[in-house]
Amino acid sequence: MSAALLMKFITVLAAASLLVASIDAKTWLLPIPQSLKWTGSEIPLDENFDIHAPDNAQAQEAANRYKKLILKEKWVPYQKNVTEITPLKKGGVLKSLQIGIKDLNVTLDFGVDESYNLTIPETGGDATLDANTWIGALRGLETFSQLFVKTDGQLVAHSSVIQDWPTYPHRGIMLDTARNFYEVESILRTIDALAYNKMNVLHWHLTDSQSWPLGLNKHPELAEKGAYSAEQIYSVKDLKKVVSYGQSRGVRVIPEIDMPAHTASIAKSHSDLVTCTDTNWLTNAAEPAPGALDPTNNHTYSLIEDIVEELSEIFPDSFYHAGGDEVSSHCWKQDKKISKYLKKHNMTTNELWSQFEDKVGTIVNNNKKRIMIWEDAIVKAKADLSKDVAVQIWTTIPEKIIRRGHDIIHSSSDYFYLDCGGGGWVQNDTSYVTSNQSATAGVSQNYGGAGGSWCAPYKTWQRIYSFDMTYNITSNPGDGQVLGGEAALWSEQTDDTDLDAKLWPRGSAAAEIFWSGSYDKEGNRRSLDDMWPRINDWRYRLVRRGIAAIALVPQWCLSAGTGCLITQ
Amino acid sequence: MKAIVASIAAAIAFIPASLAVAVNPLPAPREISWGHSGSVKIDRDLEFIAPANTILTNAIKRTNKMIWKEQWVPQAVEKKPVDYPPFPDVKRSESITLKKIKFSVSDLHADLQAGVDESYTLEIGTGSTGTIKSKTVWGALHALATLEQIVISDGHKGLIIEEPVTIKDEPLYPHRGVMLDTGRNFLSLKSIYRQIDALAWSKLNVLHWHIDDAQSWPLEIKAHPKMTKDAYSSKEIYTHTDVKNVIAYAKARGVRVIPEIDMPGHSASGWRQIDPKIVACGNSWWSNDNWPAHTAVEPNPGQLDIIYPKTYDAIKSVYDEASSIFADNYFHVGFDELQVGCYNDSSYIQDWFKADPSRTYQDLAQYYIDKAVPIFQNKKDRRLIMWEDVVTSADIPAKNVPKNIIMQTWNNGPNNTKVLTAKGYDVIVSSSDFFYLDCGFGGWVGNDPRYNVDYSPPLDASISDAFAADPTTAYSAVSFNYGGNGGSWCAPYKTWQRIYDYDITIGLTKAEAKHVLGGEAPLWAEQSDDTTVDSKVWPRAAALAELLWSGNRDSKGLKRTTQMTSRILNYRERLVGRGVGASPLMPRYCLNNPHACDLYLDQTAVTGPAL
Repeated sequence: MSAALLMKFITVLAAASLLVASIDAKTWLLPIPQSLKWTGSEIPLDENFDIHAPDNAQAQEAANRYKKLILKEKWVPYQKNVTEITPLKKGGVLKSLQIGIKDLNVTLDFGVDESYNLTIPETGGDATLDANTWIGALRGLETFSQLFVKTDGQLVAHSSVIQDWPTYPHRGIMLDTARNFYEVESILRTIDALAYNKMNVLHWHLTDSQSWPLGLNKHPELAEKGAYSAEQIYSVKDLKKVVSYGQSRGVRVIPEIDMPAHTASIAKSHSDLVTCTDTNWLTNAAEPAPGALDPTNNHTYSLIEDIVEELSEIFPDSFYHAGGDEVSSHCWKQDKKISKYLKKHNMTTNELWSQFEDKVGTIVNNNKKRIMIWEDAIVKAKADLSKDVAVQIWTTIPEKIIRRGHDIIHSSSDYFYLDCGGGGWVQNDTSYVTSNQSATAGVSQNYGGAGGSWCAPYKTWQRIYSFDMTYNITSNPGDGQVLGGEAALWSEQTDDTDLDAKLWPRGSAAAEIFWSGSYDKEGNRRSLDDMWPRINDWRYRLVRRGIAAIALVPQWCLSAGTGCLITQ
Repeated sequence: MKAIVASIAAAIAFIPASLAVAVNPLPAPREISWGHSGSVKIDRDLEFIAPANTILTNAIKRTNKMIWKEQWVPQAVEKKPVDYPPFPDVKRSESITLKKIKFSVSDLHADLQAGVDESYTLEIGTGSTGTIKSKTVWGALHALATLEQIVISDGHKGLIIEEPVTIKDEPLYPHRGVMLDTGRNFLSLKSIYRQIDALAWSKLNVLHWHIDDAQSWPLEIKAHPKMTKDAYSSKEIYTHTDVKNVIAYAKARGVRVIPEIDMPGHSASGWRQIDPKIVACGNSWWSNDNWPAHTAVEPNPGQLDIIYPKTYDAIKSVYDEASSIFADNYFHVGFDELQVGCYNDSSYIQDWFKADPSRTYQDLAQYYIDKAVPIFQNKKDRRLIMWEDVVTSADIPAKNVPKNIIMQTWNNGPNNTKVLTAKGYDVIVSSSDFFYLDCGFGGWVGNDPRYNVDYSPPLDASISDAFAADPTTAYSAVSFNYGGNGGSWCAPYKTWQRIYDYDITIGLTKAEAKHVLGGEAPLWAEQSDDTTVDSKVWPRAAALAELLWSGNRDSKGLKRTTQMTSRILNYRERLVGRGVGASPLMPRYCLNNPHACDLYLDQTAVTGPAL
C-alpha cells in the first residue's frame, strides 16, 4: 500500500469517528424539511393504526391514500447509513396520526399556504400533523410516509419533530405533449410523482407545431386535423380528469398554448391564420415544423379568445401560460401580407411581436387569469409588458427580468432542461460523419462535445442541484420576485416509454431546491454531501411507487459508504 | 448475384426499390426485389410447410401468431422530399392469395455457433405458395423475422404483403451483438428475455453477457456458494437454471449467449468471498482525486492478484463451472482497464518485482496470460475473447498474447481496429466513439464539484482563437457544463445516425478487413437497470443491426442513412407494439412527414469516405 493511500485512510477514519457521536438514526427524506429534529426512537405501528383527518374531502382522501401507501410500501432502505448511527430507542406503539387543519375551506392556487408541523413523539401514542390548509396537510402526509421503514420485519416510524414550509410557491415540471403524445395514464402518474416530491405545478405544454392534441368543444377541428391521430387527443373529459387528479394531490395544472410561433398544427384547420408552414424550417423556425400565427389577422385573435375562454373554464388555476418563445422574424417577413402591414405601420417584427403579446395578455386578463410567458418577448423583442406578467426564464440572466419588475420562474436550460444531451433528432444530418472517423485534438461535436444536442450536456442531478436560486437576484423596490422554478421536458425524443426515466429522480433534485431552497435556515448552501444518500434511496422508493425512475449509480454505491464519491 | 444487383439498379432509375412499397424490413436485406403486380393476400389458414425441427416449428408458430396479432400498419413511410417530382403512385390490386410457405433447409443439424450459415432466400411470387430456402435453421429464422416485417394490415383485419417479393439475404458479418452488464446493476430475467426477443427481430445474433463486475457477483457458483453473498440481494442472483433457460430461449431465436467473466481487473465482489487474498486493493479509496495513487477508473476498486498462487485455483474452479453452464464455444475473459496502482496493494506482486528488478508490468501481465489462458482453453472448440487492453494498454499490456484470441476493441476508433488486425487478431468492433450506448448521461460518481459553475467560463484563448478563425475546426466553444461532456467520459450520447454512419473497416487492407468478425454495442450499466434498459438499447441497436447485416451503403456505395430513417422510425414503433420500451427518435410529426425533419434537403448530403 502506498503512503499516499494510507494517509487517505487515516483521514477518512478520523472523520468517521468524529461524526459517530453526532448522527442520530434517521430515514431518508426528500425534499429535506426546513426544520428537522430526530428524537431517536423507533415507533412500531399499532395494528389498528389510523389517520384522523378533519372534515375536508381532500385531506380525508389523502389520509386514506397515505395509510394504504405506508402499509403497502414497507420500505427497506436501499441506501445504507454512511456513518455509524446511534442505536435507536424503542418507543411505544404509534396509535394514530391526528391531523389538524386551521382553515378547511381553501382553494388550491398560487401562493396557498403549504406549511405544516409534524411530530412523532418518542413515546409513541398519537402523532400530530398541524397545517393551516389541507394542502399543507398533504405535504405533511408525504413527509410522514417517508418516516416509515421496515426494520427487523416490523414497520416503524422514526420519532421526530418537523416544521416545514416551501421556500418558493411555484415548483413544477413542464411536460410537452405535442412533440410526442402521452397517455393520460402517464400524466396522472407524473402528478403522483410531483406530489411525492412536494412539487405543486404541472405546467402542461399542450400544443406545438408538430401536433395539436387538445380537443376543445368550441373548436374540435383543431384536434381533428392537428392531432397525430384520433386516439391521440385529450378530450375535455380527459383534461378535467387531470385537473381533478392534480387537485386531489395538491398539484396545480397550468395549461400552455404556445403562440405566436410553434403553431403549425393550427394551420391544418385554419390555414389562413398561420404563415410560413410550407417553408424551409432551417430559415423560419427553431426546428421542424415551421409555422407561426399571423398577428395581423383579426381572426387570429378571435380564435385565441375562444381558446383562452374555454381553457379558463376547464383549468381553474389563476395562471395561464401563453408561450411566446422562439419567434422567427424570417417567418413573418416571408409573408407578403405581413410584410405589407409592417411597412404600412412602419413597424419592426419585434414591435409586431410585442403588440401580439399585449393583445394576448389582455385576452388572458379578461378571463381573470394571470399570464405567464417565456422570456423571449422581453429578451429578444424588448417588449415592455405589463408588470404582472410572470416570466419563465430559460436562457437569460434573471436579474435582467427582475429589474423590470416581472416575477420570474427559473427554468434555465443550462440546469433544468431534462431533454438535453440526447443527441440531435433531425435526420439526414451530416455532422455525425467525420472523414477519418477518429478523434482530433480538443473537443468536437462527436468527441466530448454536444453530439447534436443544442443544450448538451445531459443535466445530471448534481448539476441541477448546484443551481443557486438566489444568484444574481436583486431586491430593490419595484423588482420582481422569484416565484420558483420548473424543470422542463421537451418531448422531441421522449414519449410514454421513457417519460419517467427522463423526469425522475432528476426532477427530485430540482424539487428540493424549490422547496427547501438553495440554502438552509442557517444560511448555509445545501450540499451534495447531504443530498446524495437521500436521492440514491429516493430513486428506488420512486420505482417501488411505480415511477420508472432512472438508475443514478451502480447499486453497490448504496452500501459503500462514501466509496462512490469523486472526492472524499 | 451480380445479375440481380444490376436489375435492381436498373429499377431504381424509375422507382427506387425502397419507395415501391410502404414497408421495408430492417435490417435491409442484401438483395430485395419487389414486384409490381399487386399485393399478396395472406390466407387465413396460411400453411407453413417445414421440415421436422423443433426450433423451426416453434419459430413458425411465433411468427404466425405475431403477424395476426400485430396487424401492422406502417408508421413511417419513405417518400421523396416535397420539392421532388411527385411520388409515383403505384396502383395495386390484390392479385393472389398466399396459402402456403414451403421451407427447405439443407442442414437441420448445424449448431448455433460462430460463423454458422445464416443466409436465406424468401420468395413470395405470383403463385399461392411462397418459399423459404436456407442452409440452416438459423437462416430460416431470419427469413421469418423478415416475413414478420413485410406482412402488414390490409385495413380490414386481414393481412397482405404489398407486392410479390424476392429476397436473397445473408449477413455481412458473422458476429452481431449487444453487450449487457449485469454487474453494475442487476437486470431481471424478464428484461433479458425481452432483449433477446428484440435482438432476434433485428437479426442480431449475439448477447454478450457481462455477468459480474467489481460491484456485484450475481452468478450462482456451486463450488463457491459464498460468492453470491456479493449479489445485491438474494433475489438478484442468476442460478444455473436461470442461465440455462436464458440460453435455451436465446437459442430458440437464433441468438448466441456469450458469457463474460471480467478478469483480472474489475474483480472484487464474489472473488473476495472465496479468499480475500486473491483480490488486490479491494478496500482502497479509488482515488480519482489523487490520480497518481488511483487504484481504479471507477468505484469500486479490486483486481485479481496475479502472483498469489491461489488466485488461479479460484479462477479455475469458477471458470470451469461457468464454462459448463454456457453452451457457446466463445467465452469472454475480460482483461480491460487493469490499473497498475492497484497492485501497490499486493505484497505478493511487490515481492515479485523486488525479486528481479528487471521485471516490468508487461511481464506481470504476461505472467497472468501464461497462467490463465491454459485454464481458459479448457476444451477443443473453446475460443476466447478479451478486451483489446491486453494488447493495446499503454502501461500493462501482455507481451505475447496468443493470436487465436479475439480482441474486442473499444478505444481509439478505427485506429485500434487497424493495429489489432494488422497484428493478425480477429476483432469485434465496439468503439466507444460510436457504439457505447451508455454515453452522454453525465457523471454518476457523487460529490462532484465540477457541476457547481454558474456561468460558462471563458474559453482558453487558444481554443477561442481557433474557433473564431474557423468554426468548423475540431475545436468548439465548449466547457464541462456548456456543450462539453457534462461528466460522461465518452460523451456525447451516440445517436442512431452516429452509430449507423460508422464504417467499421475504414483504413484497413483487404487482408486486415477479413479479421473483422463484426461488432457489438455495449450498455455499461452504471446508470441503467430494468427501468431504462429498453430505451437505452433500442432502437439504437437496430442501427447497428443493419450496419452489420447489410451495411450503411446503397448499391452505388453511397451512405444510405437518409433512407434508413423511415425504416428505423417504423421499426421503433413496431418494437413498442411488441412490448419493448424503445425510445422515440423524433416527434411523431416526422413519421407522418417524411424528410420534413431533415437537416439537409439534399438527400445526398450524408456522404461517407470512399471505401
